[in-house]
Amino acid sequence: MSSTRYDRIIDRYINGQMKPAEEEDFRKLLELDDELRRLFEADQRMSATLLKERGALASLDHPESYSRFLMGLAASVPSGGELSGTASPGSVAATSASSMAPLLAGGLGLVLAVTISFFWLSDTMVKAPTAQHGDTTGAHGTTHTPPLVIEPPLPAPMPGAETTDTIAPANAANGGDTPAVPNARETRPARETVTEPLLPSAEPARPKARSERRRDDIPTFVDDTIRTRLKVERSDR
Amino acid sequence: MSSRQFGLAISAALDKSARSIAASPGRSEDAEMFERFLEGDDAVAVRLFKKYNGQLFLYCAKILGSNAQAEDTTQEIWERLIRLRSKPQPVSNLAGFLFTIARNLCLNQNRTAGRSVPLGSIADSAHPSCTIPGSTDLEELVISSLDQLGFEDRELLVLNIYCGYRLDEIAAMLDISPNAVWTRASRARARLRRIVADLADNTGADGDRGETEEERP
Repeated sequence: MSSTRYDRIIDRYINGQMKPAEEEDFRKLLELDDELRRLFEADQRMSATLLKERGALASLDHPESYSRFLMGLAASVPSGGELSGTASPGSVAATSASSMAPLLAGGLGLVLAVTISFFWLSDTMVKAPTAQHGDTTGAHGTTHTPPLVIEPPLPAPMPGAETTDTIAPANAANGGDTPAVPNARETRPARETVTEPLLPSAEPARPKARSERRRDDIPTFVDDTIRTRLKVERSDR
Repeated sequence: MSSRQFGLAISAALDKSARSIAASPGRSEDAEMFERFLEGDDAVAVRLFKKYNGQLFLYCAKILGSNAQAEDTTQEIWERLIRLRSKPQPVSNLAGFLFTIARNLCLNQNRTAGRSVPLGSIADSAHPSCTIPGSTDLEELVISSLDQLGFEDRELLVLNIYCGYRLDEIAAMLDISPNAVWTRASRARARLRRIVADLADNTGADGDRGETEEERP
């Protein structure tokens, strides 16, 4: 019998393509034909060994692969998208943040540096025009820095709830029938209460401490800005 | 949040995800899962990982002959799959797609490493076949005889015996006709069978009574 025929017979038997009668004949042939038996035993040994190795390899765990896979998944989540049924973007961001602490610290430092630079620049910009008008806080001792009442910018008026500034004159025009709408802004000191002397003080100004100068200079700039904005808002109204 | 905690959160959603996935008529479950994976469903992603990672590892381990390299390659396969989320592309045969990536990566690695080293020149400690604890000499020889086959024959046997795919599934996966796969598999198995038969004759040892790795000094 040719080797190809042996292989074909063994293949048919292994793949279960033989009828029961053929299988019986095959078993009888195995006892009679040494070459067929040799090849068949080799096939059985081969299958058993390969399956044994497969079992050994399949029993290996891959924790590192799994954790790297999860990290890859976490990194792949779109920033605006919502995960379906698993983790929220927030948790993913938290995962990323824990591993990006050095980067975040660097970013925070950068923001801080930019903020400090901004204040330093604004300080310089305020000092320059005031120096031209002689209203300086320099070493000449002619300082006149007004005491200031710093107010936060006024919030936008609520729809339907006008401020007393506009209602009160209207009431007066209507004979005062309609009471003014109580508003927290009524209790606030008026804009004119900001005491800013128009003339320089007659008293010789004492040299100011460095911290005092800085504290006074910055609000001047801020207050002017707010005042300008308020004027614009009122003219709009 | 550690990756383990992330994994726990995912495993809680796995049951829910498993119930909700029902393959629509005319579409395979894999195609359904892959679509949801691309949409960002991480629970489905984990299911895909659990379904295919073992098979991919076995494939790479047998083709590359190294468990460590196989681990790296498997990770690379998953990274490539995850990258598809940002650049989605239609995949009709997910298993075939994954094994094609695995095949290309393994071929690249073999090419770069220049694995044309004769088997006899490899030290016993570095022998790629030493994977079964307490294996006999003959078993090791049988395992190493797989390396004597050509790449395509070896790949076929690995997919069939190690990864557990039927021949018709392999045909669909490799996009070749079932008859061609059948013929190739039969030929590869016959070749391996003869190698093993010759090895058994030459060693004259019965595999069960051979010297095991543990008995060796």
